[in-house]
Amino acid sequence: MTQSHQDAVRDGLSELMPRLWRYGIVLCGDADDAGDLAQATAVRALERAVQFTPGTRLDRWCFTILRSIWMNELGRRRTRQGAGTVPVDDVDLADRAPGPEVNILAGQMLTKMMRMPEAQRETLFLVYVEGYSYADAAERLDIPIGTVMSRLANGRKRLQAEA
Amino acid sequence: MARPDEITDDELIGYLDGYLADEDARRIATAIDADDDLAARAAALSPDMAALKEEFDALLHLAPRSLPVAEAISAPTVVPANAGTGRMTVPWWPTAMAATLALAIGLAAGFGLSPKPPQQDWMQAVADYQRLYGPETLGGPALTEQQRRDGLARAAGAVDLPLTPDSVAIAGLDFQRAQILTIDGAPLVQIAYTDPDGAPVALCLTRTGGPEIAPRSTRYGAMNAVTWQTAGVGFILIGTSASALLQAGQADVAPRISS
Repeated sequence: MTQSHQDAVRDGLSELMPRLWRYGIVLCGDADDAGDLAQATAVRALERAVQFTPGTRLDRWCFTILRSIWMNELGRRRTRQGAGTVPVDDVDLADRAPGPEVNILAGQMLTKMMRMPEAQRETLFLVYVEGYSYADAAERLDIPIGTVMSRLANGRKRLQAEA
Repeated sequence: MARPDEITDDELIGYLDGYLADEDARRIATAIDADDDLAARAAALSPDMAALKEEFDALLHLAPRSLPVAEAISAPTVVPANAGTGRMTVPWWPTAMAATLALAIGLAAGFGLSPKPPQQDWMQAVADYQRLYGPETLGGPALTEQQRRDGLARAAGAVDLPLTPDSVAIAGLDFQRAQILTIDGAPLVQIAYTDPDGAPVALCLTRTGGPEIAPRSTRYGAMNAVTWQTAGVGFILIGTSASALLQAGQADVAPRISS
């Protein structure tokens, strides 16, 4: 592993941590889980630094890692709860009331987002907060662009509707 | 001019997000101006996205302080497994981290962060399989003493461990049979017992090449389990029996079946 790969990842990670944590909040709905997830992501990113091309987007690369760690964890949790082997992406977790940390913020949009089905919430987050194009979001989530757009449409209606 | 009912929500979204070519964008803008219903639909799709971004950006200020990742990665220390968080069966991460960050390679195995033993997450596969076992599974015609001995001998050869009816005997459990399973192309031995109530219990083992891990109790769904790893072999004793019974069983059998 060349020093430049490690350095590129390590240097970028410090300032990326808050955004990793934020993505974790969107996926997990829980600040503790988000913290764990962000740190697990950082460790794996450093372990795999040789796979990162310096000069390319570290944030997107780390987001891929983060998502994959979370998907594995979700799969484990569902198996333990006896939920069988339903493909993770096809099942929306029950709407979760936002945790106390998120409530404290009292942001209306944030609160509405955290009450959405997970798949819808993540799609809106990637496109409207992290600035993914529809095509990039489709690739990241491994879904057709049409599905991205209908999640965005339904999500926007939900945000616009009265609470 | 396009009829308003030909314009889908997807097209409206594309228009609102600036994805459409100029000509298409003009077409839709004109249609919205001309039709109240379409205008209402566009309005229903137009929450304050700037406010959304603002609120999410405010979240960044609440993120935990950046952790000293560089220091952590260069000086890993082992944290005792299963510090009894009560939050999750297998902790993702040591919970009590204040000034120091302890990288637990053992715990990190739950994420596959450890130096990747070939059979990652093999215990979960065992639990999934064991979940299918019921009182009837081992209730068929009993094997003869010789058949059990032969089955164990084959299993012993597969994993190169001293497995005999005497070495795998566990106080309180009745040995039934052994079988050779496979995980990721490597042999995994399952030694099946029944407990005093007739419930199935399995001792599974496979060569992981991983580090020493002291015995720990855990749960997989409705089953209790004790897991440990020694001399490069991972073990799990799992069943619906009481945890105390499994812990006693682990203490009983572990010294006799290590290489």
